[in-house]
Amino acid sequence: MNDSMVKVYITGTGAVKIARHYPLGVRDLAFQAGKQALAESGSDNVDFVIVASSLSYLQAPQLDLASYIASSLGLHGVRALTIEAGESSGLAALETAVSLIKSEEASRILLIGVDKMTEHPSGPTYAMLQTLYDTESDAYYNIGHASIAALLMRLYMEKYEVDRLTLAYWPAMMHMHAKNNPHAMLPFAVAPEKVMTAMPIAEPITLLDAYPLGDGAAAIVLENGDELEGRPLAEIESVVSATGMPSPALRDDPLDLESLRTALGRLGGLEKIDVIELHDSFSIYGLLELETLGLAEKGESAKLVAEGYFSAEGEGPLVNPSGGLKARGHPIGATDVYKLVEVSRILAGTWQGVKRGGEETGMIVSINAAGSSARIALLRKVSG
Amino acid sequence: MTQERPESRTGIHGWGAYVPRWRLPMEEITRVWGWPPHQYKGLNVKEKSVDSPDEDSTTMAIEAGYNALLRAKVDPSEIKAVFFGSESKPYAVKPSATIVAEALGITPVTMASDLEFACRAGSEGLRASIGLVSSGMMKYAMAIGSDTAQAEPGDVLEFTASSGAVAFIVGPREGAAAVFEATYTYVTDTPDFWRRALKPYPRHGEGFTGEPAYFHHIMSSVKNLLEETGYKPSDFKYAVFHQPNGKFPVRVGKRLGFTMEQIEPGLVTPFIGNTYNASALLGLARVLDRAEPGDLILVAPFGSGAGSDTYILRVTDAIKEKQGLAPRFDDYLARRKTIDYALYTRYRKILTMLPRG
Repeated sequence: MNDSMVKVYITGTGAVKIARHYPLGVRDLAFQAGKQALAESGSDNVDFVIVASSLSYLQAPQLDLASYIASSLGLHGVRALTIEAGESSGLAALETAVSLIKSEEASRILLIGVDKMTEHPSGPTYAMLQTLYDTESDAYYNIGHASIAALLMRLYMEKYEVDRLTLAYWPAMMHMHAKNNPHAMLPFAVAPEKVMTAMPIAEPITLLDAYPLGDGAAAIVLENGDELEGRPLAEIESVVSATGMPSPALRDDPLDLESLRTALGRLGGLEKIDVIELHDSFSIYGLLELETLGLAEKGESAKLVAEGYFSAEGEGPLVNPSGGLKARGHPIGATDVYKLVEVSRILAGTWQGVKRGGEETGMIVSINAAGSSARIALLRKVSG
Repeated sequence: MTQERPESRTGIHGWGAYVPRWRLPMEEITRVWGWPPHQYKGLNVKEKSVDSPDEDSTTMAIEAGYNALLRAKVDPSEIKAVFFGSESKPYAVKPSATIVAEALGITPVTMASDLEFACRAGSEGLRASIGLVSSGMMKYAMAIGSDTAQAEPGDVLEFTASSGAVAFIVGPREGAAAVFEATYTYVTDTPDFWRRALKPYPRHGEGFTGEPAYFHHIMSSVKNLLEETGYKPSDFKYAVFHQPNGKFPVRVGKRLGFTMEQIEPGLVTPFIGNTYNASALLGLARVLDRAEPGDLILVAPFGSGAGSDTYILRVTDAIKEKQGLAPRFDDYLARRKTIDYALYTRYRKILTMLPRG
C-alpha cells in the first residue's frame, strides 16, 4: 500500500457496447471509448495514456499499442504504456496508473481497456485464450479455460452437495442484470432451467455458464485530487494484487482462490461494500470469489445467489449489476475497465442499469485464468 | 417505371426441379456426433436430401434440365447457352456444363460454362441468360444451379449441406410462364465462407456469415430494387430468399416487411436442407409449380463471398398449361427414403478406404 496522501479520482468514463464489431479495429474501439471518457472529464489534456490489452498481441497484432492509440487520439507527445496481465489486465493497468499519480509522476491519465475477440473463427480464438492458462502445464495438456472451470464446478458440487440447478441461478441473475446495462452484449433474460439444458461446453458447464466472445473498449480518466480539472465521479481508495499457484491442481484446496485471498489480506480489512463487480468468466469463479472474500460461507454462495441475496432486492452487497462477464461480456483486457466505468457511474449516480441507490462503496475483483493472479480495487463515492 | 428495363423482354419458359430420394434426419447427425438436440432445432431443418452413390451435380442438373425442357417445349438445339452454377463440380478443370448440355441434346452450337460464386453462381447464370436473350443474341438460354454440397463431418454445416438441382430456360417475353420485370445484383468482397484450392471441405466465419454477409447483402439487394421499381412488400404474392437454414430466410423476409404467408410457400430447406446453388431457386420452382396468372414473385438468392441478386417476376397466363408437364418439386419431396449415418457416409463417399494389399 502506498503511503502517499495524494487522492486519485475518476473524472471520466466511456464504454463501447460489447458486440461483434466486425468493421471496427482495436484502434477504432479504443478511440470511441477514449473520446467518451475525455469528453466527460471535460478536457483532452492528459499526460499519460495507459492501455490494458491482452489479446491484441495475438488477434490483431500490434506491439507498443498504447503509443499508436495515443496517436490516433491526437495525444501526441504524451507518455504511453501498454499493460498485459491476462484477464486481470484492466486492474493491473489501474494499479500502475494509481501508483504513477500517487508518486506524482503523472497527474492526469487516460486508461483504456480494449480487446478484439472476433478477428478469427472461434477455434483459433480459443487456442489464444488457452494461453491465459499455464502453457507449460495445464494449457500444454489442453486443460484450461472451460475444462478447469468444469473440474472446479464438479468438485464444488460434490464437496458441498450443491445441485446443478442451484448453480444455474448465477447466469440467470447475470442475464437479468444485463438487460438494463446499455453496453451489455447479451441483454436478455435466461431462466435457470434453460442454463441446465443449454449446449454442454465441458460438463457440467453449459454454454450459458460461459462468457461470450465480443469486442469491446472502455476507458476512464484518472486525476490527482489536488489538481482536479474534471468533476470527480468516484475515488480510487486502493488497488491490491497478488499472484498464486499457476494451477488449481497445485493448491492445497483447488477451490481456494489463494491469489485473491492473499490480495484481500493486503487490503488490511474490509468494510461494508455496497456494490461489487466480480470476475465470472465461468459461473463457478464468481461463487468462489464471494466465498474467498468472506461474503458467503464456503459452499453457501450458490444458495445465497439462488435466494436473491446478492440481487437488487437482496440484503447482501449488490453483485454484478452490469451482468458480469457472463452477460455484459468479457473482452479480456477491457473487462476490468468496464467494471470501473460501471461502478464509478453507480457511485456517481449516473448509472442507467441495475442499482439500489445510495451506494457509497464499490469493489472490483478480477483474476486471471483460474487464479494465477488476482486484483482488487476499492472505490468510494465522492462526498459533497 | 419510365424506362423499359431490358430484362422485361424476357421470361421463364421452363423450370425444373430435382431432389435425390435419400433423406438424412437431423437426429442421425446428433446421434453420431453427440450434439445436443437443440443444436439443430434452432435451424428449422427436419432432414436433408442426400445424393445416391451414382449421382453427382451434373447428373442432378440433367434431371432438372430435362424437366425444364418438358415445360418449355422448345427444341434443345434452340438453346444457345448453358450456365452451370455449382460449388461441387465433379471436375476441377473440365466443364460440367458441356456434360449437361450434351446429355440434354443442346450441343454443339451453344455456349457452355461453369460458374462459381458459392451459392449464387446459378443465379448469376440466370441473370447472364436474361442479358443474352434480351440483347437478341439468342432466343433461349439455360441456367442451372446444382450442388452435392460438402460439409466436414462434425462441422455445424453438416446439418444443412444437402443435394439438389434446379434449371430454368430463359426466353422471349412472348409465351413465357413468368416475365422478369426487374433484376438487381449487389456484391462485395466479404469472406464469410470459402473453400481453398485442393481442400475437401469449406470453412466459414461462424457469426460473420450472418449480419455482415447474408443479411447485409440480401437486404441491400432487395431494398434497392424495391426502391428502383416502387414496389412494396405487400405487392407480392410470394417472396423467396436464399435458405442456408430454415431460420435465416424467415428472419430476413420479416425484416424486409414480408409476411410468413408470402415466405412459407418458397421455403424448401426445412424439408431437404440447403442445396446451395439450388436453394432459393428451388424455392422459386416450387412457387411456380403453384402460381396463378398475375402473381408477383420476388426471389433473392445469396452467395457467400458475398452477393445477392433480386428478381421480380410477373406470372402470365401461360403458366397453367406448363405446371403439369413435368414432376413438381413436391413430387420429389414425397419421393423420400430415410437413411442412417452409416449409409450417408457411403453415399457421400466420406468413407475412404486404403488400397488393398
